[in-house]
Amino acid sequence: MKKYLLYSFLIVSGLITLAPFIWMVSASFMHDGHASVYPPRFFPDEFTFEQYIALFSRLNITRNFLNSLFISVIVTGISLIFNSMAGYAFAKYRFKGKNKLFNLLLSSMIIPAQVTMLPLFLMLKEFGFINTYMALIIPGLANIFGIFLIRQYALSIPDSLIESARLDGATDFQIYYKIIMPLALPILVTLAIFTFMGTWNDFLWPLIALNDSSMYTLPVALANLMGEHTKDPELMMAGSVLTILPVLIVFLVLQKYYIKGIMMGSVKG
Amino acid sequence: MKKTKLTPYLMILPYVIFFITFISFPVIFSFILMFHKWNIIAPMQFIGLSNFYHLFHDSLFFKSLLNTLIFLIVHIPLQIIIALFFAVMLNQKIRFIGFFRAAYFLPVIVSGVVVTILWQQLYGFESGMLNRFLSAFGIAKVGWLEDSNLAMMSIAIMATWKNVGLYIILFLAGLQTVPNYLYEAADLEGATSWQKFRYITLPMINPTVFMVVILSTIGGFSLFIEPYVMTGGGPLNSTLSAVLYIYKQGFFFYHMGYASTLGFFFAGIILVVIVIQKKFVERDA
Repeated sequence: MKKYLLYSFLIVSGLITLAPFIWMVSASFMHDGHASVYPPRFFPDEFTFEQYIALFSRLNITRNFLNSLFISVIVTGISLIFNSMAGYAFAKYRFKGKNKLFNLLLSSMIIPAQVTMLPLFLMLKEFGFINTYMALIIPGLANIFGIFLIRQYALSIPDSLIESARLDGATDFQIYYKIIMPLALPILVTLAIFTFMGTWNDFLWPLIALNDSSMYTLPVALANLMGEHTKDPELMMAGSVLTILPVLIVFLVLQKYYIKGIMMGSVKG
Repeated sequence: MKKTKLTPYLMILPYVIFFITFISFPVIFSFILMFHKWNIIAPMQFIGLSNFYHLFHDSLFFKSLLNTLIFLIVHIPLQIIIALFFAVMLNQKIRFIGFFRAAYFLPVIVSGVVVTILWQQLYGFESGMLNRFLSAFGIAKVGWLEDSNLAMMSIAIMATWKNVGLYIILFLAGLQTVPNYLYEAADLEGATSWQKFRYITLPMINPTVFMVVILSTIGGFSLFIEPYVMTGGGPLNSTLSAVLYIYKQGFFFYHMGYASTLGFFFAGIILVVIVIQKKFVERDA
């Protein structure tokens, strides 16, 4: 009896969470005006790609999609290299001032974006990077949270492994590339998901750093569209589906790593 | 461990350069800007402490702080209670646990813009789902986003729906660290479920509670997307969050010096609130 109650509660609340998303997908396949008829309809009377066609042809959303994809992939790739190098060095090398430096860098995590966004904007404007991809790639090149995650993970790799590789004549780079990287693969995947999703969903910074609609990332383009097409929910839903699709695919395929990463960060942090 | 002289320095060099150029320098620059007036076009002008004087007389900024505070007061307790409740529910032998976890987690990974657009469909006054549902029962329509007393509350509920999945996962991780023998011992003593929760579970997961409070405080203070997309700060500035106000000062009016002052002041408030929370939670433990 208690079990049934528990399951029905979980299922109902799960549906409440999922319902808006199901409706979003459903409304994106409706004709103009069909999402707001009364009584409300959960499924389209007539299935149409009208809204998606409008997005791609009339509103040129392809460009925004590619902007988001390009920036997210580049930021994820580069930051993974920089973060893993630094994280490994902080975990496995002995050098002067290591702990002091690491703690100093770690404490910079408390500096909120509201303090740095303005001067960062002014700096990048000075360099002529505002309204270019560089403006979005540069601030994401590396981050201390990623370095911290990789350091924690690398600490658990036994020193003897590194020592024996060195005895076999491996160079520092070979050890990093051929031994540490493969062993740290789970945490690298986790970090890659965090970075990809974070960059893809970022809103405030792209809003500040980009001012031309052809340069917008997808969320900024969508918010902009919202201003012009408030009375067009079907179109907005199609845009929303497009915006969450890549993130959703990454999440569903790599869920295990993502959830583990969150739990790990929480237990150790 | 190996004592190579140069290699480790080379490996951390990219981040150190990044740190100096894109974190330290902006902080210093921002600090200098606090004492200046600058609209980017005209040359920077030193004005001493005028920006601070302006800040303490800026009633709209204090309104935005108050709004953010209202948001936090609704959002954080709601979030913790719901997340903890679900985590306790899920922390037993349940089939399809992966499915439930993923379902609750879905809103967390979705862009805030999308969540806001979705909820706008729910909150709409004339054609919103919620009001239609209410009218079907003969209840008067509610101005979820039109009523200035209610708008921030509506945003807080939406934000809770979006983030609660993350905190469910964090609480689940915390619950799994509670050793089973404590519950078994309590069972022998004849403790009720509530007593077990109150005297075993809660004290044991105190570190997790602390972390959740801190994370949702930091997240709540950075409230921006929802009011920006949904209400633009209205009605009557009732959903103007502090970050939205700083953004407007900096990137709408180009008051660079003043926006820096606001940013620093706001960061200071966040820090003070977190220190107080830390004291409070640690004493409680």
